Formats: sequence, structure tokens, C-alpha cells
Amino acid sequence: MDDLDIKKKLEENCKDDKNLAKFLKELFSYELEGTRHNYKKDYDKMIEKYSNSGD
Amino acid sequence: MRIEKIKIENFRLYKNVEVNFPKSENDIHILIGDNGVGKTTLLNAIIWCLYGDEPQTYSNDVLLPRLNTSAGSDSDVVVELHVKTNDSRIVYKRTQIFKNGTSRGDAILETFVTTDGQTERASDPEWEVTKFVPGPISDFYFFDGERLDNYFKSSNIEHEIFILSHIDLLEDMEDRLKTKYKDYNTSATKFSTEIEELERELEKKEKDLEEKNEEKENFERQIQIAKTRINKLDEDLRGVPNIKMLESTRNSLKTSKDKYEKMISKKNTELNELLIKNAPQIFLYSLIDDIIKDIERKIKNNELPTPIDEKELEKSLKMNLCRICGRKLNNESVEFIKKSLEEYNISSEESKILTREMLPDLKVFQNNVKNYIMLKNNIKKDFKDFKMDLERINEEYAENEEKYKKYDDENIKLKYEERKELEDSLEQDNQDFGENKRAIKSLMKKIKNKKEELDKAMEGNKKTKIFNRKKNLCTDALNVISETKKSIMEDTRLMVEKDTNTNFFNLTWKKHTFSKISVNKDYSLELIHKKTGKNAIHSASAAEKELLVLSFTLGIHKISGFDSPLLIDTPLARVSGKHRENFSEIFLKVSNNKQIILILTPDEYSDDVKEVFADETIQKSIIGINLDETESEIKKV
Amino acid sequence: MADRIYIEEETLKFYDNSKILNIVGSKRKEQFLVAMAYGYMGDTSIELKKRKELFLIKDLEPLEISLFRSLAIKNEDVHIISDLDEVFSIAQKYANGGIKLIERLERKCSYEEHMKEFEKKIQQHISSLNID
Repeated sequence: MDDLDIKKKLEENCKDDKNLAKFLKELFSYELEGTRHNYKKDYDKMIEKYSNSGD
Repeated sequence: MRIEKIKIENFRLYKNVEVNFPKSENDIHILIGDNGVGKTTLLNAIIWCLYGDEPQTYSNDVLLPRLNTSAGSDSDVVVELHVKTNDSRIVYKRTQIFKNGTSRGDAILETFVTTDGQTERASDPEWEVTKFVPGPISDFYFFDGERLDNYFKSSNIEHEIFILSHIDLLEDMEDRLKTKYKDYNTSATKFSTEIEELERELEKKEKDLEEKNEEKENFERQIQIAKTRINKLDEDLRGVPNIKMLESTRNSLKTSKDKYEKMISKKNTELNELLIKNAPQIFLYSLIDDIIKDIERKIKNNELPTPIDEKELEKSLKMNLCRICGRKLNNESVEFIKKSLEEYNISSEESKILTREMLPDLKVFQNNVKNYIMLKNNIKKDFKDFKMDLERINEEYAENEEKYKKYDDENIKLKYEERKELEDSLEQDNQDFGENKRAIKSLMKKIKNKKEELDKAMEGNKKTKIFNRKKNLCTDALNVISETKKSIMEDTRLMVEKDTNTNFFNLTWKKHTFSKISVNKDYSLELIHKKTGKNAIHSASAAEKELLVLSFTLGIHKISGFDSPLLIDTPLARVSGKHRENFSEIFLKVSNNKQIILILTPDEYSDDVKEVFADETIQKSIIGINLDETESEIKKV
Repeated sequence: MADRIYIEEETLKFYDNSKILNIVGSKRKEQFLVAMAYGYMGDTSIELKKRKELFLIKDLEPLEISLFRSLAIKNEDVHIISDLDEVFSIAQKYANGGIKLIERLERKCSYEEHMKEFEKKIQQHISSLNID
């Protein structure tokens, strides 16, 4: 399965939760770019962004 | 991609060997050699070159050292694999240095890529290997023919399919989100001792679960190994004359035994459920009975007020007016109301509860207890019947087993005894595995409850509430990732199933017997018979089963995206007669689109097979060994 | 009015680990009812020292509340049935006694024997009743 297909499936499985879909999309793109050693900080930022905007 | 050349120096029996694989109309190459001359070594050399591993077992009891015995003790072991792609040539070279006959460190892999006449040494040689055939799926490309036979006995390729589905990114996301989730829990513990305590308890349970899951994997592995061996012994024993009937009876009795044991266990569970659900009303039965009698007596003796609010009665008295019909009260009425209020020491509210709620409810409980007795007796009767049947089956089974002892053949006796031992230990393992599964289920439930407790505690604390939001986001994301993974694996399975069907029906010599192939969720294969519509795999011939596995393997090649060569050591050994010819024709057909390298024994390379591969353009080579058995060589025929 | 049912805090562990109470994934309410009834049968009612909530009262069926009321009537005035706080308190004390009895029952024998022992108790009790 193609990475783009996988990304599409992730978004579809979020159903109506657009915030969650955006979050997963950003995570996927982040992982696609390659191994990051300092992922914790980067993940923190993304989680912070989407856990606040999810209201 | 195709293999152009293999060069081997000092690798076991091969001191100095070079084999070329020139491309012709049919890209099929045959190598023929007796057992023990180096067939498996050739396969292992290729795998060692690419992955640093020698997975195929050798036929000798004593494993010779990797460094060829007639090479100098300060020599290197080198294997080179020359591969051609559409636009480049790649050389994979693995070297192991020996000094005084001892290896100096690990073997080193180098990869050289030549494109447009320019050769460069790859900075990540392992990465270049994964572009040819990734290690985890190499079993589908380079293997011993026994795998074609063994697929049905030990199919555990789910992990390999997982890799083929390319969901490694999702796995990374999952691992990292889980780590962050844990981090948020840990951060929250700084703000509250209650949260710290809950987090500690949660961590302990998760650790316990991890251990149980490791145990589970061990059990699965052990059970699989035992089952594979038992299947092999079953087949060996089935093939023996006169034992066939005993085996058939044995199998049928075993099936019945298992069935009854399951039914007995189910009844036991039913009984326990019945006990627990009815225990409260049984223990309280005499209380329930007393209270019903008491209420009924009170009703009979008019001790319960009519369901008119006593406050209304008091108001009526005060106003000297009936609150129901509105008429003025006469002396008689006043006396009646005063007497009622005096006599009823139970309020109408309480009377309502007793008569309209408790009385009917308690009667339901009474009835339930009577039903319980009847239901329990029914279950016990079934239990007894099943136990008697099981006893009878066990007796017949023991009688049947006795008959084995009459066989003089030592080999049969040994196999029979080994099988019995394995079955006994398998039964124990299954029981222990059952306990392990129950423990895992219970732990998962406890972890879920603990997480809920922790979330609640964090939500209740202003400082930790923010962590809860982040955790919730992580949980939602993890759920979506898990769902996505499952659906992708399912899509992969469907694609493999489709390709397996296409390949099988394209290649089979029996065009009208089977209607389709099913690839189940656990990647076990079913061969559906056209007439019966049922799985006919157990009555299929060895050749049909091998064709099925080959079709499946080719299907895997397609979805993996790696159209690399197929190399099989002794592919025809388990197939006999006409089927060898059929299979040879199949390999020839497949070689129109893919490089096939077959390593055969002289026995496999029978006259019929020779006939199929007669074309002069098909390269044949002989693997031979020198007189003192220290060196093998490969010569073109 | 009380909105949840409580147990003695230290007994929560046993509610989690008891083999008898965890047959077929019993819910908390069902576990409580068994403990309560067992406590009544064993005539053991113990005050709670440090309470821990087990489940919400709104999860109780009216049928089950009648059972609770029956327990309360036994030792008190009939007027108690309209004081649900008191009714639940009595139920909790019986459950607290019952859980200790069940714990002792399980300590006495091996896991395989737990349900057999429990079944024996039920059978003994049924035999002592006159049920047609």
C-alpha cells in the first residue's frame, strides 16, 4: 500500500473529527520526513497545538 | 532485478567458484548435485552474503567451519552476488577475515553500485540489500523446497505480511504516541500523591501485562513447534500399512474427545454463571419469604392504609371537609378518619412501597429461585451425560492405543511414543496457555479501569487537567492508527488472495477440480472444491499443495513490489511421478517473467524433468565434490 | 441523598482478585449483591471504617432496591424502607461482612475448589429451605 493511500485511510478513519484528522496528517508527514532523534519535543508541540484547538 | 553471477571464495565447501547466469528466452537455471556436495551451501552462501545469516540446515551432523578446510588459516571468506537492475548493476560483497583459522570480528558487507559506467561504493550497504530483497521477506525468495511442503504445518507469516504492508510509519507513530502518553502520566504525578500512586499501580500492571504477553509468545511458539512435529509424525504413521485404520479411528476419537471436553467445560461455565447470578436471592430466600408473608398478612388484616396520603386526611380533619369529594364531614366521618390515623402506624408512602414495589419484586425473586433449581438440575444432567460419553470415548481411545503396541517395527513404536509424549505436553501447554490468556484478559480489564481512575483523578486536579487533554488526543489518535493498520492488513490479504487465485488457475494442470483459493485472516490457505464447495486441502496431493504455496509465494512477490529472483533448493523432492513434470513446466512458464534458479538432486532431475528443460538455451550446471570431500565445484553442462 | 454505594477501602483489592466474584466478568453491582447476601446469610454486618465508592446507585434496578429494603426491614422498624440512605448503609455493612467471609472461604482451598465450595454453600442453604 502506498504511503498516500495510508495517509488517506488515516483521515477517513477520523470520521467527523477534523481536528484529529489534521493532527494525524501532521504526524504522518513528520514521520515521512525521516528518523528524528528529538521527536519528543516535536511531538509535544504538535500535541499541544491540537489538544488545545480541539474544543 | 536478476542475479548475473555468484562468486564464492573459501565459503565452506566452495574454495573458489564462480557461477554465471546469462539471460536467455527462459530465465531459468538448473543446478544439479547429490546430497552433501554443496547444494544447501550454495543457497546459504547467497543468504549469508546478503544478510549475514545461514538459516538453512546442513545435512551433515557435524557442522564444518565456515572457512574452507583447504584454504590457508589466514584467508578470507568472501561471497559476491552480482545483480542487474533496469538501469544499474549492484555487487553485494560480504567478507569475513580469518587469522590462524579464527574469525577476526564480524563479516563486513560492502555494496558497489554501477550506473552509467560509474561505480560508487554505497554508504549504507544494508539499505541497498533491502532494495533487492528485504531481509524479513527473504523467505519468499530464497528457500528450501521443504518450505513449500511445510507451509501448511507451520504458517506464521503474518509478521512478514505486516512488513509487506509498509505500515512501518504507522508503527513508529504508535510507539511514539504511546511514549508521550506515558510521559504525560509521569508529569502529572508531580502534582498529586494520589495520581502518583495510581500511576505507579498502572505501571506495575502494564509491566505484568508485558510479562504475560512474553509468556504468551513463548507458549505460541512451543505449541506451534509441537504441532508441526505431531503433524509430521501423523503423516509418517499414516503412511504405514495396517496403521491407517488405527490412525483414522484414533483421529475420529480424538475429535470426539475434544468436542466433549469443550462441551463439559461450557456446561461448567454455565453452571458457575447460574450460581453467581442466583446466589443473592438464594441466600436471602428465607428473608424474602418472611417479608412476602408479612406484607400479605398486613394486607389481609387491613394494617396498611389505603393509598391516600395521610397528610390529605389530616388536612380534611382540619378543614372539616372531605379532600376527595369536597363535602362537609359529619361526626361519623370525622371519627373514622381519626381512628384510621391512629390505627395505621405505617404511612401511605410506606404502604405503597410495600404493596406496589416490594411485594411484586420479592415474588419475582422467589420464582427465580424455583427456576434456578430446575435449571441447575438440567445443567447437571447434561454434565453427567457428557461425562459418561467422554468416559466411553476415553476407553475406546485407550483400547485403540493398545493396538499400536502390537507393532514390532521399532521405528513405528518410537514415533508413536514420541507423538504421545508431545500430545501430553501439548495438552499441558494448552492448559497453561489458557490460564495465561485468562490472566491477560483480566489484566487488560484492570489496566482499563486503572486508566479510567487515573484520568478521573487528573481531570479533577486543575494542574493535571491539561495533561488529560493531551492524553485523550493521544488515545484518539492511537485508536485511529490501530483501525487503519487493521484495514490495511485486510486490504493486503485480499490482494494476495486475488493474485494467488490468478497464479494458481493459470498454472494448474487440473482446470476443473477447484473453484477458488481462500486466504484466511491468519494466512492459512484453503483450496475450495468445485463440487462440494468445501476446503479440499487435506485431500489434495502433495503437488497440488506445493503449487498452491508457489502461487501464494508469487502473489507475495507481486504485492511486495520486489520482483526479484526465485531460488529454490530441491523443489521437486516431495513431489512424485507425473507431477514432477507438471511442476517443471510450471517453473518454465514462470521463468518467462522472472528469473528462476533451481537446485535439484539427480533423482529430481529425472528423464521427464530433463525433457522439460531440454532446450539448449536453458543453462544447466553440475555441483560436484572432490575425492577427499574438501572442495565443491560448479561446472556448466 | 447518597448517590453511590460504598465498600471498605481495603476490600477493593479482593473485589478485583476474588475468583468467585470474578466469574464471567461480573460487574461491580453483581459482586456487591453476592457479598451482601452472603453477609446476611452469615449474619455478619461490619461498619465501614474508610469507605471507597464501588458503583453508582442509579445503576441499581428497582428490583434490587427491594432486596436492599428487605434487609433493612429485618432488623429495624418498617419505617426504614422510606429512608434509602439508611437502607443502603445497612446493605453496605452486610456486604462488608460478606466479603470478609468470602475471602476466608477462598483462602481455605485451591482455586479449582473455590466454585465447588461456593456451590456447596448454596446447596446446603437450599436444602435447609422448604421450596416446592
